[in-house]
Order: sequence, then structure tokens, then C-alpha cells
Amino acid sequence: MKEITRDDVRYLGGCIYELYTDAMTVPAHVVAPEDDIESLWGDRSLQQLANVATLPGIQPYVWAMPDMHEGYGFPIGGVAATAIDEGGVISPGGIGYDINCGVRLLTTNIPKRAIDKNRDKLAQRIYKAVPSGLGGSGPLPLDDKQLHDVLNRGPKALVERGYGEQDDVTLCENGGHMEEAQADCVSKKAQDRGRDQLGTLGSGNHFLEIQEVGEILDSETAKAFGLDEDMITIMIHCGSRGLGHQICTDYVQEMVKKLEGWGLSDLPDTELACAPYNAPLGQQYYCAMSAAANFAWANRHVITHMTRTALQDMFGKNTTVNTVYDVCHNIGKKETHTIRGEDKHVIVHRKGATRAFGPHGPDVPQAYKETGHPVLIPGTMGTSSYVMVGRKDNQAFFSCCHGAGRTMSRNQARKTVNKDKLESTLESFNVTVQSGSTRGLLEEAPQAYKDVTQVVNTVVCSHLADPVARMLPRIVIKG
Amino acid sequence: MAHNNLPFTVEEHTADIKITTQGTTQKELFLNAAESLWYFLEPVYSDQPLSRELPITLHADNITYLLVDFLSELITYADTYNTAYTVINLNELTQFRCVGTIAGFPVERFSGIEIKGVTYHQADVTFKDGQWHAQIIYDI
Repeated sequence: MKEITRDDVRYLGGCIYELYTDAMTVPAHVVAPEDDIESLWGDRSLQQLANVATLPGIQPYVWAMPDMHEGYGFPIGGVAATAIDEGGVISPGGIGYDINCGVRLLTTNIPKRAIDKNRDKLAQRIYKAVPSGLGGSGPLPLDDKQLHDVLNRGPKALVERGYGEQDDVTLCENGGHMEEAQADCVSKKAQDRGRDQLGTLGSGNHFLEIQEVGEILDSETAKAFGLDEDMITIMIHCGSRGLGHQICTDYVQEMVKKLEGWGLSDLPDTELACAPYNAPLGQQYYCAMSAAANFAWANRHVITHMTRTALQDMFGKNTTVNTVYDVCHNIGKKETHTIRGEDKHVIVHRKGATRAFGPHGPDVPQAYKETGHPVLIPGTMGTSSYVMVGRKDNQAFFSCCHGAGRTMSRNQARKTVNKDKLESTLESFNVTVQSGSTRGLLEEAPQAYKDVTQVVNTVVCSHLADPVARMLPRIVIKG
Repeated sequence: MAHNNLPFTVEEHTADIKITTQGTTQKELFLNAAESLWYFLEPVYSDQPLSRELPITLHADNITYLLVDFLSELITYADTYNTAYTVINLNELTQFRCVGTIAGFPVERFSGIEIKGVTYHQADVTFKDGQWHAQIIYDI
């Protein structure tokens, strides 16, 4: 595929640009700060977006969220829908190795002053309670039967065993359960890789943060979400761990071998390897991906349970820890969307993008029917995170950004960020960090990311979602 | 970014890890690429002895895919058995087939970066100027 150039991009108005070349089947719409086209050319993400727009069954438009950056195959922050009845494909690379990587938000009734007084002690307590990093086991190793139960049913299988509460399950995207999940489609390698990892954070950009609500931006919706000024909240960011990673590896390998048979050997990037959704391998992947999604919800569910237990041990049995919502940002979903006046069944690939349904949208829990579901946008350990809400007029297959988006490579971050200075800066912001890896800490420094507030402003400008509250980090747990 | 005394080079990539490496033989290329895994994972060894050997047999359409699949196999076993598989014997290595055994030392944990997957994106293995060259991107 020929390389795209600046001439292939035109400004549509607001915060939306259009990218189109003759090689693309459909145009791409790129959400980026108004009149800031240069920010789009810092890496190869636009080219990757153009490549995605060549996939069989692709629907207008392919979308790039304002936190887009270069990935592999798909850009991170890419959204693409393929029509099931038009030979549409499903691409594991468009979902990612960390299937159902996502974010959960919890509220508590812990007074802010109690956190301020106990930051170091609490950081150590949570760090001990929630395993992070690599090579560690979770608190809940599973035998074959238990693992299959989690893969097929998600966290509700755990509530029956005394872990977590029913509301923790109900207030997840999809009710914490993709019904197409089939443990039988998950290889033994994948099962063995993830078997003892339930209830673990992992490393990289995954975290558990204790936050305080710094600013309410929409009081009515905040009230519906159970958020209040100065409230202490908890944000959990992690995914399906080694189990999901292995499912992606297994199916990309299989699909690469079969591309020629499907007439797909000329894909512009091998990592876009895919299968027609209706082919047996496409169906098997969807069932395996759904199982990994269930595992990821179960993972955040167990972390919620351990965090709740640790907080009740420390602050008393009357401490409440309630789930606000849990959203995926690496997932492929069967959804129905009206495209040019016609209702179509599509697979929406959200790769580093969050679903954002507005009021009365499908699969919005009863509690949020009137508002739309919460959209959780983590920022960085030194800035802030946002709670937003979906809108009825979102044109991007009801999708939103998933974070601030990296702007600096990990090499660059390690070279330019000074550990002592970072720690003293965080301390001056009243942020305590407990991390198992200095390298990880430097690579995730706030300066390695875009300004999350600017990203959120761009989301608002492009009618993807509306802001509800801004959260400030107080304790950051990282692998 | 070049690291002294390492058999690979870490290249710039916004979110993930890109490495390049070389070898005078195909086997040396594979072993040098494998070294990069342990560099990023940073094993913290336990005091347990060398693990039992695991057999590996891989088939692929070309040598690039074979290298991706070989590295994926090492990541899978490292994550499953918490072991750094640094003892690698490749008894048969062609453009399409890799057969051998791996063994390694169990770890208490890996203190570095979690490598979620070895991607085919921009993966490339070539032979030029008397050397094998490879480029690989890890998803982290």
C-alpha cells in the first residue's frame, strides 16, 4: 500500500479530520485537536489507520480517537466495524493481545482525611493485597473445572464462591459476561498460562489508584454515578493477563497460515491477520476472545474483592466499596449500528478505545438508563483521570478514547525522566507511588503521555462523550 | 538505542518495543533475539536448579514467521512456568522448521517489562552482507 501523505488528509471542522486514499475501501475520521494537524504525523498511526480501512467488510468510517498512537497492525485508539453479512472479518490484532484490558471504578465512604493520614501505610497494604508485576501468582489458583466456569460465565461464577458482590457483576459492560464464550475454544497453553493469574494487575501501564474526586463537572450525572466532591474512589486498570495474551498469539498464528485460502494474502500488514467472521476459525476466535473477556472481568472482580477486604481490615467493617462501572477498551463486539440508514450487524473492533453508549443505549445497566453509561478515562499517575458519560449522537460507533495516549517512547522516558525528581514531584502533588519496578515507573511518568485534559476537551469537541468528574491520584500501585 | 555488550539493539517505538539483531548463522540470530526477551523481562532467579527440558517443534511459512513463533513459544513457557529459558538447543533450524529443546532457571519473579506478545508487525528477517538480520516488535 502506498504511503499516505499530508495531501490525503483534509479538515472537516470541529475536531475531525478525514483521511482517504484510493487504496482505502472507506475513509477514516480522525479525532484530533482543532487546527493541530501536525500532531497526527509524529508516528505511523495514520498509516496504520489507512491499512485498517482496507479490511474486508469494513464500514464507513474507520475512526481514530484523540489518544491515538502507533501500535502494531491497528493503531492504539482505533475503531473499526466490519459487517458480518458482507464478508466482514474479525482481526485479533484489532482487539489486542490483552483482550478486555479495561478499567473499573469503585466508590468508597472512606473520609478523605483518613487517606491523607495513612497514605504510606495504605499503599503498602494494598500493594501486598493485590499481586502485581510478572511471574507472581494470584490469590485464587483455579483447577480445570473452576477455570472453565470462569471462562464460560465470568465473575458471576466467583460471586457464588463468596468472592465479590452481585452489583460488582451487574455494573460491568455486558453484565460481565459475553454469552458466546466457550472454554473449549481456549487452548491448553492459554489456560495453563492464565490459570494462576486471576486477581493480578500485571505490569506496564496497568495500575490500581486510590483517587479523590477533585472536581465535579456535571453534578446531575455525577449523582447518578454515585460520585461526590472529595469522595475517595479506586480505579483499576488491567486485563486478561497471560490467558488473553496467549489466545491472541494462538489465533493470529492460525489465521496467518490460512490467509491465502481466504484470498487475504495481500493484507498491508501481517498483524492485521483476520478471518471471515462466519468462517469456523472466525467463530472459534470470537468464542475464545469472549472467554478471555470473561476472565478479564473476573480478574478485576477478584482485585475489587481483595481491595474491599483490605480497606475493611484497615478502616473497619462499615467501610463500603461499591462498583460504579467496568468498561473494556480492547475488545471486539457484535453490535447493531445504523449505517447510512440501514441497520447492520457488525463486529466493532475497539483497540484502545472505550465503548460510550448514551441514554437508553443497548446494554446500558438499568441504573444508568437515563444518563448513558460511565466512560472511564485514566490519565497518568501525576495528573488526573476523568469520568465521562456516553452521548446519543456519538458517530464513532459509540466509542471514545481510552486514556491520555503515549507521546514519548519508553526509551526516551527512561533517558529523560529522573527518578528522584519524579518522586519529589509526585510527592508535591500528594501522590504516593508503590511500584515493583523503577524502570516501569520511569516509563509511565506523566511526561511520557499527552495532556489528558486536552484529550478530554477534544472528545467533547467531537461529541464522543461528556465530562462528569475529574479524579486526582493519591496512591498509585504499579507492577 | 544501542546497549553495550548486548547482541541486539533497542529501536525507538512509541508504545511498544522494537529490537533489531544480527547473527552470522540463522541459529545465532534466533539466540540473539531470544536474549532480548530476558533483558526486558529481568528475571529475579530463585535458588532452584535448572528446569527439565521442554521440546519445541515449530513450522512456519517463512523464516520471519518462524522467528516470531519461536520467540512467542519462549514467552508462553516463561509466563506459564515462571522460568527464564536461557538454555536453548536448536537441533534443526531451516527457513520453515525449528526443532530443539529449551531449559532454564526458575525465577521468583520477573522484575522488568511484561511482554504480552511477539507481533508480526514490521517483523523481518533478511540475509545480506554475509549476515542474518532481524527486526521484531513486542507488544508490552
